Amino acid sequence: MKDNPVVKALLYAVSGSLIVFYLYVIYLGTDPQVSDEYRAYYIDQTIPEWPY
Amino acid sequence: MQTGRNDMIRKMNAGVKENTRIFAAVLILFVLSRMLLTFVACAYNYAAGTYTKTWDLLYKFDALWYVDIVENGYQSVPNSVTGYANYAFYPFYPIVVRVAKGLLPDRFTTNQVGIMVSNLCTLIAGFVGVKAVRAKYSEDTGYFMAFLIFFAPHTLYFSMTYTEAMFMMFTICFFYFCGQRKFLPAAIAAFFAAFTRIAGVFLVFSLLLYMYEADYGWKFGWRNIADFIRQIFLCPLRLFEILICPLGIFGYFYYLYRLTGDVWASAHIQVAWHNSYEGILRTLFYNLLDSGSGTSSQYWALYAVFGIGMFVYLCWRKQFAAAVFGILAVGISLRTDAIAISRYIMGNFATYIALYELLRGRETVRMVVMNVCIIVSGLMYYMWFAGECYFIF
Repeated sequence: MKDNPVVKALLYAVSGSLIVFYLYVIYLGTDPQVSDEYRAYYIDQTIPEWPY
Repeated sequence: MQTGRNDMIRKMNAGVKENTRIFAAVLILFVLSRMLLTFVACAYNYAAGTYTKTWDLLYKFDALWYVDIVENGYQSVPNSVTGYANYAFYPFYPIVVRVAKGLLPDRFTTNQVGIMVSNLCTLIAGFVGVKAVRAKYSEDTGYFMAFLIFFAPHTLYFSMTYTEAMFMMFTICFFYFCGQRKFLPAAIAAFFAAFTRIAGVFLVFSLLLYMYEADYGWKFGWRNIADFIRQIFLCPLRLFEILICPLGIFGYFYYLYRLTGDVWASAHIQVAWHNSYEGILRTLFYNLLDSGSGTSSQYWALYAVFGIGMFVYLCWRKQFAAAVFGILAVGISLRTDAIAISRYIMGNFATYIALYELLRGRETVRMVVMNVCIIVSGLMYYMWFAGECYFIF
């Protein structure tokens, strides 16, 4: 089964897709689309309390 | 031909018989553990003069968050007063509870369904745990493993609407399949473990170690390592097995990006709960000496030392795959704080492997440990019901 060339090609295709998806998610993680307050409190931690 | 088929049927029947016998024994242990829980609930109600139902006594702390996720889904913005958000909690357990709730009659509350799911997971975990021991040590009955899973201190979380039981079940399945060198089902178990709790993602390193051991034993050398890496890319099934492990967690990260705009929202939200000590040694040092939460901080720090000791012991026993999982899963929590570390350590199967190995063949010590487990677990149940449970939180 695992030596079948079609199965092999499918597994490579799925694995490649997974790698692309993981890299895409990591890329999205480099540029959060959040408010200034969120960035200051949760990411940069430049303010001591959540501004409510 | 006919003889071969008969042999196969006879073997299958023997396997089913053995599994039934193991399951029956595990079920008895499980029922006994839940009798202890119910007895303590009765004792608590008697002492407090109340008539609170057992499932309501178990419904505290994180259980409220999980019930909220099941009933209302994830929130897109943090709470305006506290800064907390329910997306700190990972999704697979709430998904299963939601599906189970949809299948069950309306009379069951979300918390009750969560308790049912957790208990079912615990029972399966006990069964697979015994199977894993028997596969490794054919001369052992392995029931002590199930006993530890049902009775050890801090296993009270396995009986309530918490993710611990489900995470433990998938982790045990992972180690069981890896022990059989069945890496595809092991990878699928790791995928679900990581979808249940972030720590499950570290199973990918254990999988790599098991794969390496299967090919080269524990003979490390540059040539072996280079050949191992080359084989991963030449064998697409192996590549797929490794890559499937973190899919659940990356899927959740992508979902969080769509929900909040922040891929790492579940990590960033932790700021609202507690500050980070930014290092394992700093966490241990400040919790031991400068305990902000009183004695509970010292208890957590000492428990962390116990956990690290167990994982070092696993290294000494050359159980590197389990040791690496234990160290990474517990280490990631310890890097920020020791809060609730006892729960993470006793919710990690690597600890149980270490305890089993340590107590194997030491009958007297094992008997003492069993008695202590029952007494301490009973006490912890009582403290949980009474709400005086900060240190076991």
